[in-house]
Amino acid sequence: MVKHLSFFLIFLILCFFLAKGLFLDPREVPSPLIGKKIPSFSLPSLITEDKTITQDDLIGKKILLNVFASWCGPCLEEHPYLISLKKSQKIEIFGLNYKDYKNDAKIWLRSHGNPYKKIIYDPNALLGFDLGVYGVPETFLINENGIIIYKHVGALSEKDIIKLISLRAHVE
Amino acid sequence: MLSNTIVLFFSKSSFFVLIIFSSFSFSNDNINLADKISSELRCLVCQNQTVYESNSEFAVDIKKNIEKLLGQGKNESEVLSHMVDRYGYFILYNPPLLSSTYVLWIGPFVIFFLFSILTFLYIRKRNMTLIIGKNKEKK
Repeated sequence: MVKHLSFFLIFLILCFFLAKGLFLDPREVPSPLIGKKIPSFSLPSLITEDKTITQDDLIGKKILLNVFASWCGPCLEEHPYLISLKKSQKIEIFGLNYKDYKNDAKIWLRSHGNPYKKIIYDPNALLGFDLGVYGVPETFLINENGIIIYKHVGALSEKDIIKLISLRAHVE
Repeated sequence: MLSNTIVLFFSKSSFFVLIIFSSFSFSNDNINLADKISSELRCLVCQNQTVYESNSEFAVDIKKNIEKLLGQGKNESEVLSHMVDRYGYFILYNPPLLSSTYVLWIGPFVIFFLFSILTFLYIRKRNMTLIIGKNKEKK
């Protein structure tokens, strides 16, 4: 009787962990950059082509840095939520145009709207590599000191955005 | 009964040996260093492949970065830590032996050991039952 009960208990514990596992994404890679300052970079602006954007442009306020590309499907899915977010003026959104063609990106933004304060043009994934970007879209929450607080991999849902902007902007 | 245990032991240990040796793909010093490094990194897009094996754009970019870093004079471990700094330990194809990966490395051996003991006890119990049965027949 005890033997049957203990096997059943082991079975229940196994079920618990397996159920928990169903909600995890095995492909998601945690970022080692959380708590670290954004890397230094110097890249052209997508829109104002003669201007250069550096890490100093990202420091001063809590911001979102959204990595996107015109060829990326999920980027289009999350884009309306970024547009609403921009309209709500709750937080500034900077764009990192990743491995894209300049004209394609501009046309994409013209069709779907531009929620970005500034857009970094990174066709060779130079900043992308230093930020540990391995897919699009990805979104970084950066505090006023330029420290990366959080990284979201994949398309943002409305809930994700609410959660993201309410995160405490300080890491111990 | 002893032969059963031996068969079980060899099938399990050969399985482990196969897994361990499949991760050693470069032993020749003449192999290109960039290839050696890329075979130690995991492609984060096709996560069961090494960067060396993968043809995904991510892997191509990483390979370009390896060449760039080697051109800057970095050695193998410097290139690997450069990658780990940006992508975390998961980018190493072979998980390092850290407190967090301890279970991953030691686990299979513990389970093997546990099951060996259970199997041994079970076989012994069956043998005892057979012997007792035979003794009863004799009487």
